[in-house]
Amino acid sequence: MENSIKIDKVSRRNKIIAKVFVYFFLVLFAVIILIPFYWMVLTSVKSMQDLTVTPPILFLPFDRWRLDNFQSALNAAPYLIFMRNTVIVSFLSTVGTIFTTIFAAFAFSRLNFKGRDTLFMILLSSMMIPGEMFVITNFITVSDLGWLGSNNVSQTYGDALKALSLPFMTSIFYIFFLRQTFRQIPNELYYAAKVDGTSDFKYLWRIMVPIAKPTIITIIILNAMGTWNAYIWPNLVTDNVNFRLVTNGLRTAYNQLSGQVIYNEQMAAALIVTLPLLIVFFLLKKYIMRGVSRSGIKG
Amino acid sequence: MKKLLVFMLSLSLVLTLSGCYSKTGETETEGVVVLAELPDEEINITFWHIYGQGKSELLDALIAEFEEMYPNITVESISQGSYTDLKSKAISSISAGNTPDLLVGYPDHFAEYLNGNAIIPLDLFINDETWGVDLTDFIDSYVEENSQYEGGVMYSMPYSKSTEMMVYNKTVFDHYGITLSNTEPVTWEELETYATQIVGDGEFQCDYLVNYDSSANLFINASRQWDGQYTNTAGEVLVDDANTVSMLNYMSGLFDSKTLALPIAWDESYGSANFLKGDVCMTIGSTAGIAYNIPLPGNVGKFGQFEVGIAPIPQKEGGVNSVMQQGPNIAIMSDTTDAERLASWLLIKHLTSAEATAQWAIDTGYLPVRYSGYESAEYQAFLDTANYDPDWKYQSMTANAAYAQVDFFQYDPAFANRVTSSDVRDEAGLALEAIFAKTKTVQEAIANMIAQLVW
Amino acid sequence: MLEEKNNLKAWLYLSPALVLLAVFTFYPLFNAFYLVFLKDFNYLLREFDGYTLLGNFSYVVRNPNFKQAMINTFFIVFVSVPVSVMIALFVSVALNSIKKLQGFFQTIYFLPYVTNAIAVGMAFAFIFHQDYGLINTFLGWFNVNPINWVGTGASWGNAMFSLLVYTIWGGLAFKIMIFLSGLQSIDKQYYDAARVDSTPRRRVFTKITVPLLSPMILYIVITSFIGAFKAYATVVGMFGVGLGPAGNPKSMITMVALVYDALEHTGSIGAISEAAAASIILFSITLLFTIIQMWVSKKRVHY
Repeated sequence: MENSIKIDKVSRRNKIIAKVFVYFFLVLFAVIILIPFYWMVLTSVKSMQDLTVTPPILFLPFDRWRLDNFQSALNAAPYLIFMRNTVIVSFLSTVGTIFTTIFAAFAFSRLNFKGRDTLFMILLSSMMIPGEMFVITNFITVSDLGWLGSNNVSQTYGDALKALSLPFMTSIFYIFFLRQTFRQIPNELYYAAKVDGTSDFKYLWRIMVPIAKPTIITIIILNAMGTWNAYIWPNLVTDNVNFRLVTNGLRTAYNQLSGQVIYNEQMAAALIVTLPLLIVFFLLKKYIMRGVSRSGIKG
Repeated sequence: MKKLLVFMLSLSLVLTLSGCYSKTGETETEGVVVLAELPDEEINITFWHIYGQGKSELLDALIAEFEEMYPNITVESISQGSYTDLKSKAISSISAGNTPDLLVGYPDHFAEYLNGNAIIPLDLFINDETWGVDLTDFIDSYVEENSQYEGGVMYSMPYSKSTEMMVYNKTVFDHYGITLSNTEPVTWEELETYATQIVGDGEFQCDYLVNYDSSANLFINASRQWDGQYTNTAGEVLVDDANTVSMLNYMSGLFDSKTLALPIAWDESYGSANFLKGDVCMTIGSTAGIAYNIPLPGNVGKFGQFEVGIAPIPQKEGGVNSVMQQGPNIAIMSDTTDAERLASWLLIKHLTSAEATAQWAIDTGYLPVRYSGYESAEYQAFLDTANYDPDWKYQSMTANAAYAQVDFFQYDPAFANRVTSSDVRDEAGLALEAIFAKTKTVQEAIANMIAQLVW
Repeated sequence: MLEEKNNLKAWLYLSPALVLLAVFTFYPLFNAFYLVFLKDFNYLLREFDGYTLLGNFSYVVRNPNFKQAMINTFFIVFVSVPVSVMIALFVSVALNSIKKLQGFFQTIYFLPYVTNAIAVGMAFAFIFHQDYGLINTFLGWFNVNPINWVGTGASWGNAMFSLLVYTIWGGLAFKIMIFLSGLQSIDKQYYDAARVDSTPRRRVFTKITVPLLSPMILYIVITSFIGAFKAYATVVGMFGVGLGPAGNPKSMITMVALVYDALEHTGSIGAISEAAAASIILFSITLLFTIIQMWVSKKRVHY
């Protein structure tokens, strides 16, 4: 009796020590992760003078914060229009990606068809070519499709949206990712559904998609972020400043005469661009947690 | 079955591909026709540049003026962000056959576009009785730069030009009783003597005497001053030359005596911050960057809010006087109709007119491209430091130093083989940096530069 | 009969993705394989001057920086991938083991993913600065003299070490996110069973967590390998377009940098074919490694 209580105490103490250790590790890691982010915020509120001091200022008193960097960053580009475009393009490309990805991942994970592994290997291998190689050819494709306007006809907003979102409406990266999740779902569920006469389509949407919810939400976040951060392609395929995306505004934060970068304004611009993304992430994060706890599927 | 389908699909793709490309043959170069009269029809022209808000407002005003002069011409002016973005977008648009009508660019960009015959020679426009301009009114070096292409033809017109100047800490120089002229260049040898007094860690001393922002410009410009070889429009790399080597040895000596520094001394790309801090007492950079070198009230550097003077860049005693002129020019693309070409030419003519170029120069810090721009009453008032507008004091001094160097402006030769002139330029800068960082000797740096460029 | 039906259905499910991929991915891929055999291809005029089998490849191999690019790329791949996968795995397991503040930590760990690359570059420049950087300050407490990590004239070893730290840091957010979403999909039953049997932590990790997470680990390892072979942005972020510390330019050059270098000259004759050749060399190496990994994983990955 006494002995078992003792053991209980020891194991509880060990547990607490382990917990403390885990939290310590997580906090330490969080600090390491936060340094660049802190740096970004700090830079964005520094005046030009505070920016060029050596050694750099690590803690800036609030009364020296310069919010006018944000003002000039906002003045440098039509951010509201850029934001609207980015939201529309992110939405289009994310919806497209989700559908094409779910269908393709299902085929790769559940359906046995001839040449499956070969096709999958071809998909994977195309990820190995540097992106710029694609850009050069795709630009000509998009131009040949008439989405860039021509010498006599200017590009319409609809054309621009097509050129901006269609190439990103699917992704091998995410097909692969979702396939890995789908494959973890036990085969028994599938055979049981087959016996019940459930069609593949129904099975996919009723069973597999809900189980894979955390993965799908992760894909939504990553894909939206990808659009948000895209730079080269949007700049290349838009012919009108009003069709461009937020990152195209970021690059204007340098002095055009001397080419010197105005770091504080650039960081302010980066924060303006990043903030909506973070808010969306905060909102979706709760959703992931809830999605997991309520999915209630027991393997 | 399906494999076959995939195979067929890929095969057809490859076949369509080969359909897109053709064997090199006779490229039809359409002759340029200068219309005698501007057609009455609506003409839309697209102008690509890199000017963001601020400068583009100024440009828009000039364009609005132009559109008023020619009511049937509409100009769509689009900023492409940066020169790199502008060039890569232009290259893609040429390949796709979907180009703007006119665009700004550096000579090496134009050399690259010429590989695709994508810009047109401007001679017929320049010499036209109705629409022409007097080329002798343009700064000589600009004309030479824009006609350095095959056949010595003008393929572009100068637009936003700048050069280099030397900013110095006047407070320190006054302390030693040294006076520098705003318009007379000093020599490197004189700088060496100043260094003996000014370099050190005393109260009125700096760690280095002078910083040179662009190591590439230093290499190119100094090799000219030493009468050495650099490269030529054929794209030969000629740096293994006795005079160039002796120039590099001399510079290496200046590095050792702490007379001369490059911004990498402080892990920077520009020396302005260190000039303000007092790490260095003089700095050489673009005339367009003057505002970065003026200490503001409360400057935290060693010398506080010191006084600033501006001088032309140093020259070699008994050498060839030389200073780099830089900045973009404007060209007209070939994929245009005769009417669009004429409209584009008229826009260029308007933007480079004496009044416009003087106004653009005063407002932006670039330099006028025409002698008559310099001589305009407006610009002369701007240059007159006796009656300057106090807010524009340093801009005026900069313009004076720049103007004093007009006679020995030189430019980079431009070519776009597999190795382009901008590659040679980059390697020249890297070679000097390696010498400064003492990671390579002069001989090694030159050997490496050649190895990087010729293979 | 049934098989044929299944085949048709599979292609139907694949068709939306395949149509888009055919236009925007396979076509450029085939194009690259086509361009590499063209002699003196002029991208601007879309003209070429006959065919060549190895001409473009030999141009890439002759590049004075080819050897250094290979060495650096392999170094980055074989150090950064294992280390970052390991760290991400431990962090996400630790994160998954707690209840309080889990969401908070998760958000923080995700931040690097939305942080501007220039901000990260600047922060790391400061972390590795010789005179007032965090690392040298820290080393100073142990009487270590300041080390020139990335400054003017920094050695290959120091620069590579800094680059690896930066690379590993930069990839963690994504990996943690994937691992965490994988861990959250693992059924709690397995852990409950382990708790009843009072299985030690280490055994739970090696016998339950890792096997059940193995599809995600495989995913991360393969995509990280591919990503690391394509390392370029990190080098530019840390060292600028000089691709090395000042005074030692190009000492950090990578395979993809050779592709980009050629692509910067798209207007020059032959440059695109050269970029295609460099891409295909890189592609072949990466493909070889991916096939090996897939082959090994067939035996190890638990579905």
